[in-house]
Order: sequence, then structure tokens, then C-alpha cells
Amino acid sequence: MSQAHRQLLLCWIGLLLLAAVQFGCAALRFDRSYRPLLLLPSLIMAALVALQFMRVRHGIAIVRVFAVAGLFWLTILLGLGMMDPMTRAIYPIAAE
Amino acid sequence: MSEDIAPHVHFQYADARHQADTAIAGMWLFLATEALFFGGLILAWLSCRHWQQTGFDAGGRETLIAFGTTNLALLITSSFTYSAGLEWIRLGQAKRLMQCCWITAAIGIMFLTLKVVEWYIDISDHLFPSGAFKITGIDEGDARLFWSFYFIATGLHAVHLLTGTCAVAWVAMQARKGAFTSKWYTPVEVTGLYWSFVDIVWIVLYPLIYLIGRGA
Repeated sequence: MSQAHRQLLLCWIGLLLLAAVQFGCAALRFDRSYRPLLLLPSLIMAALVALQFMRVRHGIAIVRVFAVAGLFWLTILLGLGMMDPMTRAIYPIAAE
Repeated sequence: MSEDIAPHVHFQYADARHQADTAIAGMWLFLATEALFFGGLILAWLSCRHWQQTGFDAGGRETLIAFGTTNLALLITSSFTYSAGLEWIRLGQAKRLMQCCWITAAIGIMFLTLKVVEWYIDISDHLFPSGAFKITGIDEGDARLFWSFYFIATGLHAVHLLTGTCAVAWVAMQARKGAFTSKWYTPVEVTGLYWSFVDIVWIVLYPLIYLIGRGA
């Protein structure tokens, strides 16, 4: 087994451990509004897959530009899209 | 570079590495558009859940977490097996690449089989968003919205996975014919990028569908 294969094996074990942590955290009871935080392990796992299995680190400069551009526009899409729901104040309607 | 030396290199490229780099960059550009495609879906989910948390979570609690979690483990493993195959062809081991590709394709078929069984159970359980619906009362409308998202998201992902499985099977067949060597394996690299991206999509969809609605 080469050094590269050992790294892939470690990454695979790491991903499974992160998945187990995510699964375990989902069993915890916490406020409904904070439950989207369960996405955090997924983001780490996605980064691991991109870095290790997709070899983004070893790609030429234009590959890294496309990867970062995709991430940048995704952030714009989700950030601007969620800006209104996250910042709008809801006031109760006074009873007549 | 002459055709005798590098039969796969097209005339417009300086050498095989230049052609490979171009193909890989092209796939990354395509994946960036795919990220935005799935990004719209994720934005719809985040926005809808923000305004209808109770009903959305009521829908999420009905998902079959054992299926989703098994599929997550399967796809993570498949990315590992494919990447291992890619490393083998870098070392000139075409037979090992072929074996890794067949294992990856088999995992893809297992994922799709589990997904079809899961859809069958969901529909049998009256969780399809139109017609008679399992969840009634105040949460019914929002739970239907969740299940609309569920079928669209998992359906789109399954189409991507089916495409990826066919591509991986094609790579395996080409490897068997001896098409790839340690000097030329561009299609193996490009297919691997697509496969791992489909894995990433499931890694993100998994908590949205199976985890966030539970335990709230």
C-alpha cells in the first residue's frame, strides 16, 4: 500500500467518524432554531472530500479558481437568499 | 508530440499533461455550475424551514434514517474505493483500477436500490405530497412541503448518481481493455471528480432530510 493509499484510508476513516459524530449530535435535544448547525460536520466532510479525494490542492491554478468561484457564488446565493428570513423582525398583531 | 508517442493527445494541446489539465479544469467549471444548481435547492429548503419550522420538522421525523445513514456510509466508501483506483492507475496497475471501479459501481447500484426501496416505503406510508397524506392537522401543509423537497432532492441526486454509476462502469470496461496507463488516465480523473461531487451533495442533503427535523 502506497503513501497515497494510506492517506485515502485515513480520510475515509475520518469521514466515517465525522458522520458518526453528526449522527450522535442529531440525537441531542436542542432548540429548533439551532438545528441547522447539524450541517457543520457536513461542511467539514465536504471539505475533506474536495481536498483528499478530488485533489483540489494538487490541481493547477485554474482548478482552484473554479473551485473557489463555485464556493463564492454559492455563498452569495445562500447568504443573500437567507438575509431576509434571518433579519426580518416579526411583530405580533395586536388583538382587536 | 506525434500520434505515435501520444495517441490520445489532440492537436490543439502542447502535450498530454496540458490536455489532462484542460479536461480537469473543464470538469471543475461544470461542477461549479452544479453546486449552484443544488444551491438553489438548499436555499429553498433553508428558507421554507425558517418560516415553517414545526411542520417541516414534523415531515422530517417521518424519514427513514436507517436508509439515509446507510447510504451516507456507502457513498463515502465509494469515493474512497474510486480514489484508491485512481492511485493504482497512477502506479500503472490497470487491473486494480478496474476492480476498484467495479466495487464503486456496485456501491452506486446498492445506493440506488436502497433509495428505490425507501421511496416505495415512503409512498406506501402515504408520504407522497399529493393525495391522502399521513400527517394531518395544523402541520399537514408544511409537512407536504418538506416531502416535496424530499422527493425532488433525492430524485435529482439519484439521476446524478445513476449517471455517475454508468460513467464508472464505462471506466472499468475501458480499464479492462487496457485503455489507461500510468501516463494517460484523464477520463479516470474526470469521472472521479464527478463521483466525489455527487458524494458531497449527499453529505449535505443527509442532515437536511434526515437529521434536522429530529430531536427538535
